[in-house]
Amino acid sequence: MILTDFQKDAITEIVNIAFGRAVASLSELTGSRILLTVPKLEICTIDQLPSVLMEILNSDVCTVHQIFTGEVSGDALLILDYKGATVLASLLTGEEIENMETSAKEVLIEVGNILLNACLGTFENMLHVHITFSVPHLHLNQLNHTLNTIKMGKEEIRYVILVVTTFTVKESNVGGYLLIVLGVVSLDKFIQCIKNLEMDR
Amino acid sequence: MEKILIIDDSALSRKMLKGILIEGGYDVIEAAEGVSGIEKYFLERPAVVILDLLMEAMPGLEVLKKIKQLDQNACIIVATADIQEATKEEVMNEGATAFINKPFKKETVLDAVSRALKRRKS
Amino acid sequence: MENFEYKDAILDWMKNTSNFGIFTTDANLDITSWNKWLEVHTRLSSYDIIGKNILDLPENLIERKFAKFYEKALGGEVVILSRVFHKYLIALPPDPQYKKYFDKMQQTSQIAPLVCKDKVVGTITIIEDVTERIVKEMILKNEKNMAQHYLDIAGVIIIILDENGNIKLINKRGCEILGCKQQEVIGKNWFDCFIPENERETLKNVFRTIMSGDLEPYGEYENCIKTTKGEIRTIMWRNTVLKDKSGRIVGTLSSGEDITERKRLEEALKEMAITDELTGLYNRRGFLILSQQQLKLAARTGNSALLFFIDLDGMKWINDNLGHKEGDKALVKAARILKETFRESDIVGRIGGDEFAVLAVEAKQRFAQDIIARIRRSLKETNSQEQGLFQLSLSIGFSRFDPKSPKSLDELMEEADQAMYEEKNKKK
Repeated sequence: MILTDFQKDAITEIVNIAFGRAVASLSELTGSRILLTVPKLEICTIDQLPSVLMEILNSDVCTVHQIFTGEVSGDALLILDYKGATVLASLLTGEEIENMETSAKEVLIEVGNILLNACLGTFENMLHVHITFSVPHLHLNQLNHTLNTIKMGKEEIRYVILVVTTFTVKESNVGGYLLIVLGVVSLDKFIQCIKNLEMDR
Repeated sequence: MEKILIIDDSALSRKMLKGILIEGGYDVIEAAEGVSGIEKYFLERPAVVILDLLMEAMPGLEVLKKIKQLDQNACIIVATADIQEATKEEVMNEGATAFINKPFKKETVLDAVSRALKRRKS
Repeated sequence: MENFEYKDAILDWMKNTSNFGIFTTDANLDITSWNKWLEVHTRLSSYDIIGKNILDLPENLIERKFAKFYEKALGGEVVILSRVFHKYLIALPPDPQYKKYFDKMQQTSQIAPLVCKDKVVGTITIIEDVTERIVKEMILKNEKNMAQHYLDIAGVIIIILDENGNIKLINKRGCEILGCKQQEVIGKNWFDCFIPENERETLKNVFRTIMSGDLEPYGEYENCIKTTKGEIRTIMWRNTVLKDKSGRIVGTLSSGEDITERKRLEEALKEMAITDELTGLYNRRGFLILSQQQLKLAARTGNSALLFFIDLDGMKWINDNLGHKEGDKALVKAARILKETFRESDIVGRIGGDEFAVLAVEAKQRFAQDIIARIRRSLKETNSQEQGLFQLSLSIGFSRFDPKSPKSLDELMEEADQAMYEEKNKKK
């Protein structure tokens, strides 16, 4: 599926705005200044993912997973490698966290929830699509296991909007990936909404 | 008709903003990044600038500083989704006239622009 | 109709037997249900509270700052309020046993929209009491810190090696002496990092033999280590093997004292001619200097000590009748017996022609008799084994150093001398 420059730019801008809102919420929550980098964005099929995420494919990752339904439906995921997750939890809470014990998991679920909600919410807002979100879940797993879980039971080809980003908190950086997984029909609808924006005015 | 300069690296944002401003009865010029934005400012002399903060090539804050350096009375409205207190402070300290949130709401944008114009006149 | 009643029954049962607080509101945020858990903990019956608006509840129950989260939920978003950032949603007292840690129950909550046919018709809030878990986490962390703290305040180096000789744990003092940071060395191989090259293979082999169970670790031994700055330091180690539940050897625990300075002092003293050439023991001057130092240390660390005076009987007779060579031999034998009886760290000196003195630190009075017995045993053995022209005989006296009422070295020496004299006279 090939997108025009305008379409890619539109999605990037929407994610930018979403990150801005998320960062404002996170900042208010934690009391620290937080930056999220201008994201690098790619669109590919879910089968192409392994080559893109090769570096962390076989490592343990921390995933916050939220399912969304409505006019468009799919899965939204925030993925951090295990070490990154503990570092981020430490930076945000100001406490020394070495393992993903329950408190650390809670922190990441709340943070992941804020980030994913901001993304889905901004898509909803700007593209005028109606979306409902599920309760987020946190998994600690190998990345390829997580990817398999998303593929499971779905017949259609699934596409992924992949955003590579970095959290900067208190002068430390933690890298992460945001994935929005959509089926063909949903992606079509998505692109249609973007086209409407283009046509509009 | 008053001229408004939009400096934003997102085609989508420029498009949306242009739409709102034209409806509000303004003349619109655009720049897709900082350097050409600064150039256009001094060539076209717009009444108000709407500047995106998060740009890849030259960050919005740099552009703000540069324009203010060369024209103290420049009227610059900063647009961003990142509404942290710290960001707001930083931006206002560099002499921004106002601050608006993304995504753009028609009323908010037009309100901010008309207020900026009033101040410029006085 | 029946279907609804059945589902209602299940729902009611779940809400009321739950270990969580659950309440629901309509789209105006008026409360529509309030479960048993909440009734019990807030002491507000559902009868009283149903119909009230969330925003009208008293501030001491639920603070206004949470209103914005309900707005979000009505907008279709799920809101997670973790205990770390929010502490609690509804102000409740904690379980009495946790009152000393927190004055409010710690909670993690979730506020979600209730959606019917794509429209948000209300909200549901789920509250979990996480106080117990947090307290346990705090206690565990504290214990870890306390354990680390005890290790760190020890004045000696403490190191734990795993079965491969890799560093599992090292205390603050260890890091200070080696010149490294804890995180830098954990997991690295002790022998490769800190043992000088020329000793490395030997010590590695010794370690392997100890790990296999074929060798007991030496009680106390000295070796040289190389710090990160390349400095060589001498450490006196005491080691134990560590075993797991099934008795398998899994590593070693060692405590080490940096004796580099003491060794330097000993060398310096030797160069100042404070050893007796004949016997190799300290001469009078050496004995006095070192004993002074040890007593000061003992007074500071609260250790007791024993000072022995040992006299070689009949020296004059030996010298006059058998010649000085035999006299010298006798002195050397006596010196050897003393060196074997006492520890490396004790100070053994020849302070007179036929007089020896020993300062044994960390020795209590009741051990004095053991020591004396050992000397006598050694004497007996030497006498029976060696083909001498005479029988070696020693007179022994001692005095005790009590850190609680410390005596001077002079006083102790006088006392010991006196005691020895008495012994000598008894024999006559």
